[in-house]
Amino acid sequence: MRLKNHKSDYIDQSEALSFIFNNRSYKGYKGDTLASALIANDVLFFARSFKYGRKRGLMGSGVEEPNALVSLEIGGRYTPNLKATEVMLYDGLSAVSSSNPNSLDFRALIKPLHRFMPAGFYYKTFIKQKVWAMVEDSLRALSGFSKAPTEKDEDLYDHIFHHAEVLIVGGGVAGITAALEILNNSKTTRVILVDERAHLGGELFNEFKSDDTAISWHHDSVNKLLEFKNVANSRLKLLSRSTAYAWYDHNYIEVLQTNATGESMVSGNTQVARKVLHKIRTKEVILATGAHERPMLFETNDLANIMLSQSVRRYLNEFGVISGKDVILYGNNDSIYGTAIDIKDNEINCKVIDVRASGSESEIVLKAKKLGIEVLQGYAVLKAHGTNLVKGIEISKVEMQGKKWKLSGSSKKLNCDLLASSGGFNPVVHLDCHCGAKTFFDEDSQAFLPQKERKNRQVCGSISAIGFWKDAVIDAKK
Amino acid sequence: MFLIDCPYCKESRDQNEFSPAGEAFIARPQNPEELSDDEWADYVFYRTNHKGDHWEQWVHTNGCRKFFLVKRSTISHEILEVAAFGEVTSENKS
Ligand SMILES: [Zn+2]
Repeated sequence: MRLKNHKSDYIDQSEALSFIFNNRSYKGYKGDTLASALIANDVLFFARSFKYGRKRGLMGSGVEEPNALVSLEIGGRYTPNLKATEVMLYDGLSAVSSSNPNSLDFRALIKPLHRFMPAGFYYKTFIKQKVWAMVEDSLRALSGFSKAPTEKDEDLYDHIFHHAEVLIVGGGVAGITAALEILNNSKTTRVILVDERAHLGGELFNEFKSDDTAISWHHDSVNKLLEFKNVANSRLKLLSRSTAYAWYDHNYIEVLQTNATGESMVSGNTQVARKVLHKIRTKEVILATGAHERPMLFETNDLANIMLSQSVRRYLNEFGVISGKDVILYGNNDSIYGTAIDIKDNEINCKVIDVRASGSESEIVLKAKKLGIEVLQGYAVLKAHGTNLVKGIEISKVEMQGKKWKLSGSSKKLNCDLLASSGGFNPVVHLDCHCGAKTFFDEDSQAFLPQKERKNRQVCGSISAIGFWKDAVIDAKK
Repeated sequence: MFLIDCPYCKESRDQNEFSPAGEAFIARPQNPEELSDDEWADYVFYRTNHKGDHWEQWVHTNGCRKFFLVKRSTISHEILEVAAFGEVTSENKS
């Protein structure tokens, strides 16, 4: 549902857009992604799982989304396997789930037989009986990916070469700071700043409500960047809606940019490239790619409306949408309290379940308690209930004994219609690893971090497990 | 995807202008007719396939068309040194 009275800089409520998803028509606003517009319309199922055809909902809000694969448009503009979380809404958009969650599915019937179906059941069974050639097509169709296009692509695509001294990957707090720092301290250095989203700032907007300095910092910094950009012979190139997806030898990096909406641009006499491949050769690479949240693990955690905490927060703050009215946050770190406070601010019920025992709480935990949010500390979620959608959870008190978690006391049930979890953050080290760099496990942050020293490469921000945005600014200034 | 500094053109150019030409410092035997089949095979076919810093030959196919020497790490693909023939030999190579 979409919250009334919610203000967001990114959603333009004056411009309603209509679109079609799985043959039904809906309305969204300019600035929505397909996923956020569907949450606003209470569409919660996006796909089916491979083996039993279980219905799947959204889990993330960006590139980390594993379920919501869709295909866009038809005919010569058909594009398979896009993430609903990355498709920007435009008027007249039509999309179909890659594996339709609404059609009848025979796999749901065999679910009671799961005891007899080990991992890899379909492949193993049919390969043994030498009927693979007969069933392959139908099994592939179940796999959850869109069909390959059959018609010639009507759109235009382009590629451009760039040469720069510095390439910064990631336009969040750390990336913006690093770009400004370099541009200010040199008169000749050319900088390219690449960011995945439509707006610079990464996750910072989540702090806007509670922290006025975050708003002014963001405003000032983006304006300063634009000053560098909007001059003749600018040394700064900003590539938004762009993904740096490959790093080759000698700092040759490829970036794929999708135009503002991803919309097909063949209309009338003008034709604009829908996607542009930027081939960048650079002297130095700065990785400010940030971190992805990881989920907490428990039984049946694949039900729809079990999401990542930071994604729920982003849907709420950036788009003003949420997919439940009775929310439980579950996690092992402080970030869930930030989400809880934002949810509570919008007068939606929420509880927090924290695996960590009480004692030595940080400021934000105390703040959440003060706001009247019910906080259960030292509890773990054992199981989620519900057939397709989560309806409730089973929790139990847990404590650490030696190096193992032990349950204590009996379990109890809680009702909820949205569970958001956070099991910590994984730095986005993928790009760094393309060209032979290694990661190492850091005990403090419980995450794999990029190797410390590497020629012509630096890292800053939450890729090196820095959580707080002001720390990321300081880190990037080095 | 390498950037290679051609020692003749004195410019850093993209790899697709160049072609690799095998391991460097392999001298043609003085008296080929006196060699056994094994020795001849060794000269023609067998290479060290070295892991680490490796001297090799490249040719600037779409440029000056000259052959030259490159010292490249076969692990990181970093190019550590380039030289014209004669500047570096099998005796004084680093
Ligand atoms: Zn040359």
